[in-house]
Amino acid sequence: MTVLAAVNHTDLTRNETHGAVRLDEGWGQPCEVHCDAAGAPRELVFRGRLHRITAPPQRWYERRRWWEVEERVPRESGQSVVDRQHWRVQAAQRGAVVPRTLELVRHEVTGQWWLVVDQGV
Amino acid sequence: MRFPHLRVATAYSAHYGVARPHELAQVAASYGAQILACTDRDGLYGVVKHVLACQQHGVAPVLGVDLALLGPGAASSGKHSRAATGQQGQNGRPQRGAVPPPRVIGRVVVLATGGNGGVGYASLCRLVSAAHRDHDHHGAHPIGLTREQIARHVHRAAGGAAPGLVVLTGPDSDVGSLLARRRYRAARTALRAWQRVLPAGCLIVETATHLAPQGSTLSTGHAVRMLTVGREAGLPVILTNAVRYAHPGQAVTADVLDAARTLLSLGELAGSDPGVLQPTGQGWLKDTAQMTRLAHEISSAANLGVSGAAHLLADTYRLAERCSQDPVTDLHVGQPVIPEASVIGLSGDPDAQLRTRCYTGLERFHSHQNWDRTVPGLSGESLRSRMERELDVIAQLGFAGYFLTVSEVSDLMTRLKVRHAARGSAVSSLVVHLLGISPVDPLEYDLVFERFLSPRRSTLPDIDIDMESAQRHRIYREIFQRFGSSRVTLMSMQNAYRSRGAVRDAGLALGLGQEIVDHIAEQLWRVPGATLREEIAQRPELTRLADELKANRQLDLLVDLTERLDRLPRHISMHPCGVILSDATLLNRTPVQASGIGLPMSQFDKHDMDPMGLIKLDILGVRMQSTLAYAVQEVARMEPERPAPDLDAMPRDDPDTFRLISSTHTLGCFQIESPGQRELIGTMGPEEFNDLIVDISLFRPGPMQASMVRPYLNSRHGWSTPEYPHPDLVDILRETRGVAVYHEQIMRMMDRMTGCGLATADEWRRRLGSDTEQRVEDTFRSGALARGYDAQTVEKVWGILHAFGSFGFCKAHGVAFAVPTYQSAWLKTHHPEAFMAGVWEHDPGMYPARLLVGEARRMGIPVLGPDINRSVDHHRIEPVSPRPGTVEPGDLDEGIPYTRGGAWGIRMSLTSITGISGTEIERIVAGQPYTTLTDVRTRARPSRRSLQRLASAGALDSLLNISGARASRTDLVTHLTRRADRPATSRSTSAKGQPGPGQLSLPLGDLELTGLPPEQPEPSTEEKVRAELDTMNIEVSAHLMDGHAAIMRSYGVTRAEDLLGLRSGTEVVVAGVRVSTMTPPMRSGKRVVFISVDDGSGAVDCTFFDEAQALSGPVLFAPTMLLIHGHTRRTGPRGIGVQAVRAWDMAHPETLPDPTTVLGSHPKPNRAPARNPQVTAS
Repeated sequence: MTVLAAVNHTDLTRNETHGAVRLDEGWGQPCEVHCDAAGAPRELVFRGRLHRITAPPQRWYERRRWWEVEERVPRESGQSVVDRQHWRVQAAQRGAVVPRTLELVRHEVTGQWWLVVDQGV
Repeated sequence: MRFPHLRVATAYSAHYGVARPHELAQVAASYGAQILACTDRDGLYGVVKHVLACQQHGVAPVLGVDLALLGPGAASSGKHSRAATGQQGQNGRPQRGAVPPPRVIGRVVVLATGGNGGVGYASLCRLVSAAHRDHDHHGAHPIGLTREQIARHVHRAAGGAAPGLVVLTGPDSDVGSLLARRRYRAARTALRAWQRVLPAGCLIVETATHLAPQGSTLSTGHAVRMLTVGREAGLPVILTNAVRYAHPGQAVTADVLDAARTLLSLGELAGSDPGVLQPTGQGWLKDTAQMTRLAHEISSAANLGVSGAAHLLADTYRLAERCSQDPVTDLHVGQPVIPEASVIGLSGDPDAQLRTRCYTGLERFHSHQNWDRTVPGLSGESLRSRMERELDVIAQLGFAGYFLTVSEVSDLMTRLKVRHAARGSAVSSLVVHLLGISPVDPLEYDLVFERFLSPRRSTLPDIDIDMESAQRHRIYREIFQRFGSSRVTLMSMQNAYRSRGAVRDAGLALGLGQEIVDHIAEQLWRVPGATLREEIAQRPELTRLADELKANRQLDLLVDLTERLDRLPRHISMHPCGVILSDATLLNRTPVQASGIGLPMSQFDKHDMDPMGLIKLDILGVRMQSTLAYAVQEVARMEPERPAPDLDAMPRDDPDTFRLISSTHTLGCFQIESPGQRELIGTMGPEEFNDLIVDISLFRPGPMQASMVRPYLNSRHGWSTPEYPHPDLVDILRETRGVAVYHEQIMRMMDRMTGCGLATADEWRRRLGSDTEQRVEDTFRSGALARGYDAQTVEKVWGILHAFGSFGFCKAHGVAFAVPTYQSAWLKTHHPEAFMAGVWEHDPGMYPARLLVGEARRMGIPVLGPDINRSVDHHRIEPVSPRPGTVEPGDLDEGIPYTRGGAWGIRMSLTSITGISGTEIERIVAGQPYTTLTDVRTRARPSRRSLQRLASAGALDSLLNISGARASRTDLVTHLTRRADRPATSRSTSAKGQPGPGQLSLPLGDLELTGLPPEQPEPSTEEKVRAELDTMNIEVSAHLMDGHAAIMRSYGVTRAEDLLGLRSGTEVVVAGVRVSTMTPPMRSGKRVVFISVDDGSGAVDCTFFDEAQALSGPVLFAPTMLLIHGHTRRTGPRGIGVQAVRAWDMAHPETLPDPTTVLGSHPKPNRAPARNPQVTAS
């Protein structure tokens, strides 16, 4: 699974306020996600519309080439820069029959969600 | 119950684990865990620290090992996988040749079960030792065990009762890696093979997910497969998190350790082999909620639902409880075990035996004394009463066996004629002296037994023994022989990352070039790595590095990674002095592996000894003891008709020796050769042995920082009257002129004023400076007031106890150090050639060999270069013939020892020539003497390159002389260099003109040498020095600085010997070769750099304060030859140093200042920063 599919969205991230987020990793486009108590996505706003997540989402982590992109990795830091949390979700707009499969990434430090892959309907 | 982590690698899994046991225990305790395991890789390196950390946090420890699983070393992978499936893989193995060593085919975790009186732990120790045994004997054999070997251990541990060991096959086991590749059938077969070989109830399947991407190891899918296959086989399945670090932030460090372990950069690792790097950064100590959630994710993905998760967690909790160790009943923490009485030849009562031995000692050492006469001093005891009192305490504590054991070791050294002496507080004990362990009679120096041992101290006392360093390995072997290797093992030590190693490995991980990494590593001279960023910002010599950092992101990262690696354990090695002596159960209590010298060593370090009831004897190899032994041996060799000096028996009051010491010409002497010590002895002028004890005790960071030195010196010189806080304390403090220096004085003051007894006083003393000091203060104050001392006195005395108590020095230890100090100074005074030969031979001190050679030259001892016929493989003294008329008998008042009319010189060893092998030297020495070059070639067979080096060093000059050749050393060197450079030819050419074996060479003289055309003159002194430095790193013919006379003249350099005649504050330029660099801790907290340079006439000690450090920058630590501008600073009647303004590197002439502008520039004297009037006691 690659996240580079979303590199064409990177221009959107330039205006982002999260300075720590680097462009060359392909963070995709920011996305509003609402989670349940355990931190799993419940619904998200996609193309301006609210989508509900229709099946249990899958969670995994992927390694990053942190040594190529990080500025600092201070010893005191409690945050992992080694990996990123990925979610694959089935999300459907109200009234839609077929859900779309979306891949989301959550930024550990900022808590910001990013949409990295849209596999369409 | 909170989640128990049963697979946790600590930082003691070198190059793998990140967090230390206390950090892990703390995190576990913070989420309420009741149980936590420590499963280091291939060893129990972290278990004792884990047990202690768990005790501190109220957590029950589980102990285990993460062990490499070995399979047959088959040539093809097909055989390997068949072997892994349990078909033994024996068929088809090639018959010819050696059996290939086994290969690592995975890892399993083996846990010790608990609650069985230590059976589980003992089996674990034996298993781990066994896993190292084949590797220890044969390096190509990997550490680890095969399935069958593990099974044998588990069966043995079961021994009819409940199993002592359980085996966990996890995601990286043979089963797990097959399931990672979805090879279900092979995995099931492998698991069945485990079931077949292990006893019932000893096999458990471990599942774990690091939430890796689908298809990868440690993905949830992988965990599901482990769970499913385990359940199918009817086995318990437990959940772990395969922990490598305490929190997510440490995942980066694990990555860097993976790179360091494999010697590949992270880029290379990420690109090539996905098996090495952790698949994600999720291997941290997750809390109960997070682990429960993982259990549910695995279970629901396996379609086992909520009950599946509960089952998984229940199995985990059950195993955790089964494996919990009780520190007391299972691990016997804190219960010391000494060798069985029978081993030390005891059949009767050890107390009676000890008493008998002590009386023998009285007769041996004190036969001419009345044992019942009270010895003058504060102890007020006779020899007999002191001895009986000590014996009573020893009997009461049940330690007689321990004393007899140490005595046995000491006797063994005596039998082998190896110099040794006790050190530390043990010197306070008369029993220790009478057993022959210490040469010091404690009553002679009024030492306090309670400082060493009292009924109030239940831990075994330390008896440390210093011995000749050169004999240490031999003695170790003898101890193993004597006690048996089931009772003896060496102690190990953890070698941790320091800044330089950390930079190198961090640089490797980042893929930085070797040159960049070297460039940075070289600059980090004693820079603490943990705070590297801060250090770089502060230190003037690192300003260039600080600039580079700003410009380069990778260097910025490098600093962070270095800080992360710093202090992490790298590997264990033999501790320089610890030998563990125990009974035959030793190997049930510690795992062992081979040390560098082949003898087994424990996987535990010194901090682990007391908790595990392991008794270690500190047998420290001390180079000075070898030096003394060597010097005495040389004296005996040169003067066979006279009895050899008996250093330990002679009185310690020779006035000539004290004159030498006071002259500060003490290079080579024990403890008093450093620049700081020479300054101190120059100021105080020791006159008797007690002065040496005071000197050694004062020259410590504590007393120096607490300004204890100045008041002592002032009253010693009569510039002030000693101040005593109360007349009752005068006799206690008189020996140090009113200043409390010794622990013994602190104890006596407490006892005198409160009547608490010396044993209690020692307890109080130990608590000074600790957080329970307040209680000591209250008890002391009320006790002293109750005995009628007025409030003012009590206030004053408490002030002294509080301020100096924790800085004091154990007088017994001071005495133990002062003895070799005196002995070395005595030898330097009376046998200077033998002593300096011993110093060259054993290098006991802090200075480079070339300074010590210079010292001999300065003392007027002829320094004789290596010679093919006269040199052996030691530095030896020899009569100089003809007697050199130039050597004047030295003036003892100036402290320059005379050299017996210049009759003896020191002949340098052939070993001082670098690049010649030990076996070549052996052959050269065996074949001496030689008459011709051909003779050397035939019988000593040196390589052509070695022969050329011998000639360059001047070792063949004597052959030139014998042969009567007219050629010079230069001609010979040119001739031999040409031959060495020529490509190797057939043997017939080189053997031309050589007689065959068994034939004598014809007495034709050395045709090769006489045939050499004399073309070049003898080398000049400067050329000789260059060649000597090149071949020996030592100059023999002249001093290195002699070659820089012109530069030194142009700067108006003052020589070291002329400095003493200058007024304090005179502006000077000095120059020389660096011989020492020190940055001792200072009271003000500011760093001061002390650099000593040697110019051939002596050493100049230069002090660099802030400004001078800033001006000198990178020159401070690296260069060898320095030019230093500054002002003289008088430190005492015989002491003068230079307060530097700036230093330059003489090796870079282009950076040197204009000679005409340096002297007379009248720079502002660079003063020491103003002293803070408050004493900061830290």
